[in-house]
Amino acid sequence: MRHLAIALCALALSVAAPSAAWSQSTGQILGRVLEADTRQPVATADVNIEGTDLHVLTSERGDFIFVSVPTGEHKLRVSRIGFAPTVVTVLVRASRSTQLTIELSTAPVEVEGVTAEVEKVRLIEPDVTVTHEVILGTELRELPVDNVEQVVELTVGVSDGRFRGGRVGQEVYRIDGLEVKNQSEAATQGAGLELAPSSIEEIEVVTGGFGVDNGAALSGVVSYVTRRGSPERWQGRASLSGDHWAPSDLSWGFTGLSMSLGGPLKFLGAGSTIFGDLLFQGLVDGDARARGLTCLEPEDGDVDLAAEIDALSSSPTAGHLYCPYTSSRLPYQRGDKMIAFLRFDQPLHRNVDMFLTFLYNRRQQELYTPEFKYNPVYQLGQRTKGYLANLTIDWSTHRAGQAYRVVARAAAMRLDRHLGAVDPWTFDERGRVAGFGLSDFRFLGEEFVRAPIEEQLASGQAVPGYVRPGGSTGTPFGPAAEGIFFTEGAPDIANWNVTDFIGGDLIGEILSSAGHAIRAGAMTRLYEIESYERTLAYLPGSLPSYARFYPTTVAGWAEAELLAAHDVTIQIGARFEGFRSGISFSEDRVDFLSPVIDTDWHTLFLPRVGVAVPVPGTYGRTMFRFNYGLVAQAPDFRFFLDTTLGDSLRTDIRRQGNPNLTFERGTSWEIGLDQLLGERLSLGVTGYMKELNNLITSSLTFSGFAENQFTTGDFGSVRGVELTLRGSWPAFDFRIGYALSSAKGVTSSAFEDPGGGLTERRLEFPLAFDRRHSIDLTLLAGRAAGSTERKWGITGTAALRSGYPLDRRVELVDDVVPEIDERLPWTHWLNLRATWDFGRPPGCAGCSFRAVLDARNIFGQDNVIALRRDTGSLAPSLEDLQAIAGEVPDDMEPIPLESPRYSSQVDLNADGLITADEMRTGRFAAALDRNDPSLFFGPGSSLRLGIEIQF
Amino acid sequence: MTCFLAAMIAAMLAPIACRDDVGPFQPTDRPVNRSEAVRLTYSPRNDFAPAWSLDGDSVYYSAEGFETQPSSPGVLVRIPRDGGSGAPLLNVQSEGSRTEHYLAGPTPDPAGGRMAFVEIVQIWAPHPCSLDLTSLSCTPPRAEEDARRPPLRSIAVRARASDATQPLEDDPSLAFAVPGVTLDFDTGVVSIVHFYPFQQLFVNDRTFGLRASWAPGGERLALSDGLQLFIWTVGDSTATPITNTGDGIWPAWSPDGEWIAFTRLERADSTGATCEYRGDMGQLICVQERTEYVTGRHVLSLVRTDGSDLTELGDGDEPAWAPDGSEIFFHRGGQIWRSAPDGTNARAVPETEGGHQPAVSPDGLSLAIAKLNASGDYDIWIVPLAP
Repeated sequence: MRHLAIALCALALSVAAPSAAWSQSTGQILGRVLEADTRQPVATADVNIEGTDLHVLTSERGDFIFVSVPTGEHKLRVSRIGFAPTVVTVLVRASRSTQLTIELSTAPVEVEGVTAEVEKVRLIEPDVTVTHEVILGTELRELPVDNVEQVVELTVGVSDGRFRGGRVGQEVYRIDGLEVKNQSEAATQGAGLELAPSSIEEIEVVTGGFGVDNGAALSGVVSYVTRRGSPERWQGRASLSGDHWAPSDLSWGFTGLSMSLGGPLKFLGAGSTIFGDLLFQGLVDGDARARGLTCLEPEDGDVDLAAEIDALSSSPTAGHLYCPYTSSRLPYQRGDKMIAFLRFDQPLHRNVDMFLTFLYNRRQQELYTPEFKYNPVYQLGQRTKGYLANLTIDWSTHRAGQAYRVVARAAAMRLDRHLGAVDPWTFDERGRVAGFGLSDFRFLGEEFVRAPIEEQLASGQAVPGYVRPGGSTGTPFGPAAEGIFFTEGAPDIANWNVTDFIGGDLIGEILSSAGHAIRAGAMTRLYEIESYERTLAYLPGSLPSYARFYPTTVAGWAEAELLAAHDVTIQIGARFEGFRSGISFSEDRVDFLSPVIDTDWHTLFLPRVGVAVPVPGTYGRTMFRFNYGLVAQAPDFRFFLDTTLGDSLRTDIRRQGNPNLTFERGTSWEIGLDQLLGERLSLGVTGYMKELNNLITSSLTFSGFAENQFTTGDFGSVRGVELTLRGSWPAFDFRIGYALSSAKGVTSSAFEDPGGGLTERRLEFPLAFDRRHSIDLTLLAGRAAGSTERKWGITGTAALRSGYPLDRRVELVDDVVPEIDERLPWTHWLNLRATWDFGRPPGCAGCSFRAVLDARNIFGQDNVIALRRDTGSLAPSLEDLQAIAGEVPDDMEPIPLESPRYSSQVDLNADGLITADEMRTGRFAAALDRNDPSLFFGPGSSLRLGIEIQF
Repeated sequence: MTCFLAAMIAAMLAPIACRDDVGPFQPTDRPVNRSEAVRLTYSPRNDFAPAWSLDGDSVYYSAEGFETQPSSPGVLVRIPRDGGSGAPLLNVQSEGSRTEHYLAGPTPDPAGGRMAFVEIVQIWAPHPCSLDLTSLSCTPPRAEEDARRPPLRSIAVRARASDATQPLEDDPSLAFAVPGVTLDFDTGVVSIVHFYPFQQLFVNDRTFGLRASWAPGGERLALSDGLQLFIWTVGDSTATPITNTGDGIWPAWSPDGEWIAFTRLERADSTGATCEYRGDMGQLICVQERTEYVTGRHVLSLVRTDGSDLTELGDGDEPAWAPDGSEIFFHRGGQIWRSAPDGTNARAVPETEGGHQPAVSPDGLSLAIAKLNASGDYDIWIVPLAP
């Protein structure tokens, strides 16, 4: 070592080239080779990535560049006649450029490899012009999370899947660079496709200022890089965890089994790898709530209701009618999830790589609905199946100081969602292991409702298997619960939606080893959407709403990226977006003779610019960034159609669609400052503002007034400040973020107009997902933080958040909508995960295994995530409950014991007859029970134990 | 240590598949009452004419209104013998049935598979003239309410398979006009009315005496038109009268097929009246020639199926046979009695005060009765029988 000086500047000092989301699964290496003594550039030095055929020669300036470098660790070998060959180890991250300065000694001595690994937590990112968070797969697999959504949730500015005050669906997802959006139903169903955490190499969450290569989003971009098999050796991992053993209050009935396996396919040549991942989750309660199956308690309502509840619960004859059915878990939330992922990487040529991925999802679960909780046979359920295939071919060539790259992708996706009454076979006869179902849910009449629509219309029959909801027995309230609970019959909806697309991307880029780049790309998606909905499915002659149409989206973009003096990063680009709905519609739906309009293309031009600058005199310890851009996304395709929307409380509203909707669009500004505090801490401050236009759910105006009808003139704005503090020590990492935001919208008809006419009144109110304050914490310690000499590891995630605005139903005061300034309560939770590594298990020399203890919502916090819109509390008003009780007529014929409707529970004086007064008491209790607030609470506590084996 | 910990973890994970789904709510809608006497029905309206299912698990009866046809005066109902939820016996009276039927007197075929019952097809309008504006004058005088016609007009005895789905009219049946009212079509305005005891029984005591009774083979039925007993071979268009059964009702065929027990309604006396109905202008609209019979004793009687060997067992009515034919149960003096077929060893059955229309269970251990309760209506009870 005495003759050799190898100076490596880690990323904190010398990383260039901002992210390029489109190239997700690979990274770049920018380097410079200098003569150690003179610090003069070394030209025509050979730089090779060991284990590959990739060679480049340094330019006259000593620069070199590699593109399309697979993520992970690589060894660079630098050699030139007259210098000692040098090997350095580099950790390449997806979509990043790692810059190295390598000094060669003229002394011909053997060189040891030196790791120039970037720090595991990048405290300062001088190349990044946007606000983002990166979670590595190694970190991901240590955190107390079940799915990637919970990982994204850890990002500052993201809460409940909403990015900076936007609604769900204003973000886009990319898997290995491929833009994958649930373009049909993102607002209600989210991403649609899901990757298992164990199949991910890295997640990047961009919450503001995304580059021109990102479209179809207003608020955020989530990019996944999938794992590839190791080219060196076969590696695998399996874990099994569950909370079945825990006490009831700490168990959701969760079972998780995860298996990964990957390695080289040497018979196909060097570099050929395969990786597979399987995730199975069995769920007894797939949507566990903090209070389980609960009931209204006196303190949940106002004073008058509390008095009535107390009177009922303390009554010697009717006390048994209060809260008769509770459990630590909700019933009828059974379900399971399976995610299968396969990735095959194959070099096709020295400069051409190919990879192929397949992703399969199946999520299915009953959906607890209070009015069916006493129905032992029929429940509502939903099954979503997703398929994605992606073929990517990556061509690149390297010349001295420059690299050229072309990436082409072809992809096909299907999302198939079915909502309806679950066939009892699903839980009576279908094989299940630890809650996991071995086959798909079946739904009543599924074959019928999936048959060609012409056949259904011709038959005119009810959907087979559906029975009108009803029943007067089987509840704790007997006949008093008629019309309140449905103990017979099935949920009356059959609904399915299939979204298919085929698409392609073509991207080219030219990069220089000085850090400059020019990129351009284009993409298209050709969709087929089928949407079916039939309410009153039990009723012969009830007509389904059905649509099949073929939307198209296209986009093109170009970007120039300049790196001035390896310090200032400037990105300037523009994006073109276009879409058409592919639907013809009548101008006036009331008049079927009105002219038919073909929807046209909607297009937008979206310039964007981003700058990252080190503050002069701070030696790179203080970075300033700024970005500005126009953003837009095509509306969810379901907004083109009339639909029934389910909200978070699983009640339905009808909404009229508009086939000619245009883009939701916005303007985004962001400014940020990142400061390195010592060597272990960094602080970031970001201010942002978004102006949003054409807030979606617009509809055609037609004669008469319609509730839930919005106009295209709705707009809003979001502004906020975010603080992020990161720290990294050898055995401890943490990240804590605080976000303060304000999101307001202006709408023209958000409230019912009792006058009956559609007014042009403009009202400003908080956007539904305006989360004012949120604090998120992530920490990793011990082995989880990369300290492999320790046997223990601890990770934790926590959040403290203020509540969303309460969407109250209000009465007009003097013909004016009163200001609403109520919010849901604050919420907080803490999850911890502890591991203990036992080392090598008996009989497996290459294995290691460890135990995992995973605790969720440790404080057992009953977080309230929703309140009733009519009262602003967990409980309905006493008047509403009494109105239900009062539906019993005074001259009601008493119900005798021999009547099928009789229940001794309501025969309060046990005389064999249920009288009107007894019915009223029972009905009040039933109404109280029907309004159980279970779904108003967030997840409860859970304690899991697991075991994990790796080899 | 490692092995110990691993074993401990494995042991904790072992019950991973053992936690069940959240259990559904288990309703406990009604208590099972197995006390000495079980009250099966609590309807504030009348429940009549109990009969046992062949297996003894259920009791059939006719109810004045039920859940499925609340306004029907006669719904045949099946109810578990231990109490519980009743259900319409026939699909024509199940929920959603469009036509309302007035059915009474269910009795199961001893061969199994069929149910006999009586349908009251037509009821006379109480007013003999179908005009509102009339005045009444009777000789001798009587009030308008006492001048009403007897209600029963035409009935049909039907035998219906238990799994039948066709309309009632397609079942084998014997229809006949109930005697008592004759219209004089020559004059067009005169009706001859005989108000017989069985009609008075129906009006005053709200009990229905025209129930049929199966012969042991299940091919024939004994029935009454109110004035006489008949034997009808199911499927025939006519029935054969049984001699010596005048004013006989409520037949009960003995288990050995030799005898028919019945109630003879004694006619104690009769009174006559002529009633004229006139319009506003004093014009004569119609005339009713009335004969009313005063009901005397209810005589419990036995007769062979050919009408021979008529035997009277004293006061009593609504007879029912024990399954082995060793005893007859009947109503007498406001409660249920039992005696040998020859009338000896007569004794009251405990806990049957207010009881009517006994039916002995197939095992001979229980008695189903219609019992008058304190509120003045009949309900079905099960009373245990001492050997």
